[in-house]
Amino acid sequence: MNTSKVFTNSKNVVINYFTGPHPAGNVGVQIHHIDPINKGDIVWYVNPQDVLLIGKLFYEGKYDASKIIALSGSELLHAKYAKAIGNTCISAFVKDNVKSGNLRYISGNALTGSKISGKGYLGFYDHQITVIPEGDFHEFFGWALPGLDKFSFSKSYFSWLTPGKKYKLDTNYHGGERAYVITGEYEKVLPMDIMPMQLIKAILAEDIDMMEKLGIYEVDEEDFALVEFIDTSKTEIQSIIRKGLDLIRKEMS
Amino acid sequence: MKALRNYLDKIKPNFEKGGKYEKLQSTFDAIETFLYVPKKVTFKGSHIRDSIDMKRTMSVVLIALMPALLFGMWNVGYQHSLSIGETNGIFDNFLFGAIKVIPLIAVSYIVGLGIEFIFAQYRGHEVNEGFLVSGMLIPMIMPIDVPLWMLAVATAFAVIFGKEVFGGTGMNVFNPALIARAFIFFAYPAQMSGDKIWIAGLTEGKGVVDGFSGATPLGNWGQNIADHTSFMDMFLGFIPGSIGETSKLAILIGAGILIFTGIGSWRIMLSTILGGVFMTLIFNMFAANEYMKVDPLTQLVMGGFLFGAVFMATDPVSASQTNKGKYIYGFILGIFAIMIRVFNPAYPEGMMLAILLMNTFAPLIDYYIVEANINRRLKRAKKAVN
Amino acid sequence: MSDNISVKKRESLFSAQNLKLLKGPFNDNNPITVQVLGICSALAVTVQMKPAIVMALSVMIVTAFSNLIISIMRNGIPPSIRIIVQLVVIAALVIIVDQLLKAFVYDVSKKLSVFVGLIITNCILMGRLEAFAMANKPWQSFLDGIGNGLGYGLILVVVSFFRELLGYGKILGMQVIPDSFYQAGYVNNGMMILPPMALITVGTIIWIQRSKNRDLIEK
Repeated sequence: MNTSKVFTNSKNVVINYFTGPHPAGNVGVQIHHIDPINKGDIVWYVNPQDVLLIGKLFYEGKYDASKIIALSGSELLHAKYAKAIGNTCISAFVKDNVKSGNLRYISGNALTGSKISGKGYLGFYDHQITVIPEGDFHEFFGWALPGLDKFSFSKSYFSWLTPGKKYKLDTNYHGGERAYVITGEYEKVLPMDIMPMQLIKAILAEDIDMMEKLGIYEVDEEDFALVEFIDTSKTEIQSIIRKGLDLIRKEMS
Repeated sequence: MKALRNYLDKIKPNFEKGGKYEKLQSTFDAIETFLYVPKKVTFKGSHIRDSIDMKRTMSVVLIALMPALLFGMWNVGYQHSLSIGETNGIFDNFLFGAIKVIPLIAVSYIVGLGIEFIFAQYRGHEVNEGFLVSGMLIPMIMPIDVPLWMLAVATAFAVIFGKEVFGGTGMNVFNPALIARAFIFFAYPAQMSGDKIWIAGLTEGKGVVDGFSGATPLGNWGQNIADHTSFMDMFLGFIPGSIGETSKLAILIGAGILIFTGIGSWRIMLSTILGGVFMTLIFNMFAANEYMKVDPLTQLVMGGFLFGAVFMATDPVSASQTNKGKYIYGFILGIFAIMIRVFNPAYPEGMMLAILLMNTFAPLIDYYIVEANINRRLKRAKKAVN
Repeated sequence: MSDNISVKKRESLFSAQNLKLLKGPFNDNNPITVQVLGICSALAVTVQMKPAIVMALSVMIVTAFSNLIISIMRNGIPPSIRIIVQLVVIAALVIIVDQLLKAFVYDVSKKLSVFVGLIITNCILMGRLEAFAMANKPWQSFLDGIGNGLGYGLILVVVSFFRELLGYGKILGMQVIPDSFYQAGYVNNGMMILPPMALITVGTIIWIQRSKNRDLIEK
C-alpha cells in the first residue's frame, strides 16, 4: 500500500486501512467496521483538509480558510483541482469552463451533493463542484431499448458488453416511483451489517423502537446514496434516512 | 415521433386534476410512461439514478420466459400431432400451438390488467408493472385445454384476492399466478388434473390414436404407475404438461438470463433445487415404494419443479426478503415440493402447494433473520458497556 | 356497547330509537361483518340456502327470547352468577328450537347437525345479553335480539346465496343455471362449496361495507 509519509510518521494515532470501491471511503462505513456506534455514542471525525486548517491555526495562529476543491462532471471542459476560499461563489470556476445546454450544478458529488445554481455557493463541508447535464427530456421507449449507452448497476441493459466505458449520467429518474418490489438489491451496495430494506420500512412506519434496533445510529444519508442510486423503485431513500435521523433526534431531546 | 410527443403533451392537461378525463389519469399515465420514459428529474439526494426501472426489470423477466413459452407453443402442436398419429413439420406444430396459446395469454392480460387499471385509478396511484410477469406466468402454468372463461375467472380471482386485497403490488402475501392455478385446481378439478387435459383436443377425443394415453410422467407416478419416459425427453420437454413447464432446457436458459442480470435470486433457485435433491435422497434411502426410488435428477426434470423454482419461487414480493432467509425458504420449499408429490397422490404437482405454503412462512423466516441482526447489535452494545 | 340507552319518558313501541335497535345490525352494527361474532357457524352452514335460512331463524328466535327473558330478570340476577343464568336460559331455548326442528324439518335438522346445539356458544348471544339485555328494558331488548338475529341472518343468506348459486348452480335447491350453460362448457365452481370460500365471501362483504362506510375501518 502506498501511504504518504505524513500519515505513517504521525504519532499517537491508530491507522486503519480501507480498500474497495465506493462507499468504502464513507465515514459511516469506516466507523461501522472499526467500532460501530451504539446508542448514546458520540464519534467525531475530521477531514484531512480540516486537519491542516486546525494545525495552521495552532502552529501559525492563522485561520486559513482556503481549501483545494475538485471540479468534476461530464459537462466541464476541464476537470481539475482548484484553490478556493471558504464558501466561495462557484461562478468563477465554472465560467467559460462548461459545455452549453441545460446543466445541473452540484456542490459536492453527484450522489450526495446539493443542487445549486451556476452562481451558487460552495457548501461548508464540500470540496467538490460537479456539473452534469439535466435529464428533463422524454425518452421514446427508453426502457425497452437495448441501452448500450445506459449505465446500470444491474446487467439488464446491454451496456455490460462494454465494461470500462465512460458514461454521461444525467439527472433523469429513468422511471416512475413504484412500490418496493425487488429484494436483495440494496445489500449489494451497503457494506454494513444493516438490513437496509427493513430499516427503510421502519422509518416509513415511524417505528422508532424498530429503527433503533435495526441500527439507525450507525448510518447517515451518505451511506445510502448508492442504495438510492441503484433503487429500482426510484424512491428518495436519502430523504427517508434523514427523516429517520430527525425523528430519533426529536425523540432523544 | 415528435408528433406523437406533441400530441401527448397537448392532451395531457385533460387527464390531470380538474381536467375532463380526470378519472382516466392512471390509464393515461400508464400509456404515456409506456411510450416515453418520464422527464422527471432529481432535486435532492442522489442527483444521478441508475437506468434500471420497474418496466425494464419486468421486461427482462418476460424475455427470460420466452424460451419456455416458444418451446411450449411448439410442444402443444407436437403433442397434438402425436395424439392424432400425424407427423407435422416444426412450423406447423408451432403454428398450431401458437393459435392455441395466444388467446390464453390475451385473456390473462386483458382481465388482469383491466382490474389493475381500475384499482390503480380508484386508489389514485400509478399502474404497477408486476402484472406484466404474472399475466404471462398464468397461461404458462395452465393445461392447454383450459376454457378461456375459466382462465378469466381465475385471473380475476388471483388479481383481486391474491393481490389487491392486500393493497396491490408489493404487498401481496402469495404469488398471484399460483393463486390463479390453485383456484382452478380446487374450483374446477376436472380441468386441472387427470390424463386428458395436457394435450390439445384430447378431452374431446376426436381422431385420437388407439392406446394413446396422454398421461404425464408425474401423473403416472402419482398413481404409482412406474413411468419410463426417457430422461432426455423430460429434460428437453417432449412430454405432455402445462404449457411452459415441459422443457427444462428452456427453463434453464431463462434461469441463466435471470441470474446473469441479477434480477432473479440465484439463492432461491439453488437452495430450492438442493432441498428437492436432499428430500429425494432421503426417499431413496428408505425406498418403501417405486416412486421413492426415483433418482434426484429424474425428480428434478419431472413436472413443474424447475419452472416453479426458477420463475415462481423467486417472486421477490412473496418470497423471503432477506438474503439468508432466501436460502432457508428455498431449501424447505424444495423439500415440501418433493414430499407432497411423492406422498400425496391427490396432488401430483407438489410444487404449486409447496410454494404457496412457503409464501405463508416467508415473513416468519424473515422475522427470525431480522431478529438475529438485532440481537447481534444488542450484544455488541452490551459488550461496549461492560 | 355504547347503545345502552336509558329510556326515561314513555315512548311509543316503534319510536325512532327503538327502530334503530332493529335496523342497526343490518348495517353499521352488523354482528358478523362489524362485530365479527358468530363467524364459525356462518362458515359452516352456508353451503346451501335452506339450512342457512333455518339457522338464521333459529338464531333470531333464540336471541330475541333470551334477550327478553334476561331483560325481565335483569334486576333479580346476582352479578356473580349472571353468566350461568344467561347460559341456562340460552340452553333451554336452544333445546326447544332443536326439538322443534327435529319434529318439523328433520332433513334440515340433519344437515345443520351439531350447529344448532352450538348456538349456545354463539358469541352473538352472550354478547347481546351482556351488552344490552342486562341494562335495558324488555321491549328494547326483544327488538335488539330480533335485529341482531336478522343482521346475522342477512349475512348468512347473502353468503349462502352466492355459494349455492356458484357452487351448485341452484337457489333453494332449484336449478337456476340452465342446462344450455353446462353444454356450452360452464362448470360449477367446486371451491365455493369448500369452507375457505365462505371466509372469502364474508371477507368480500366486509371489504365492500368498509369501503362504503370508512368510519368502520379500524386504525
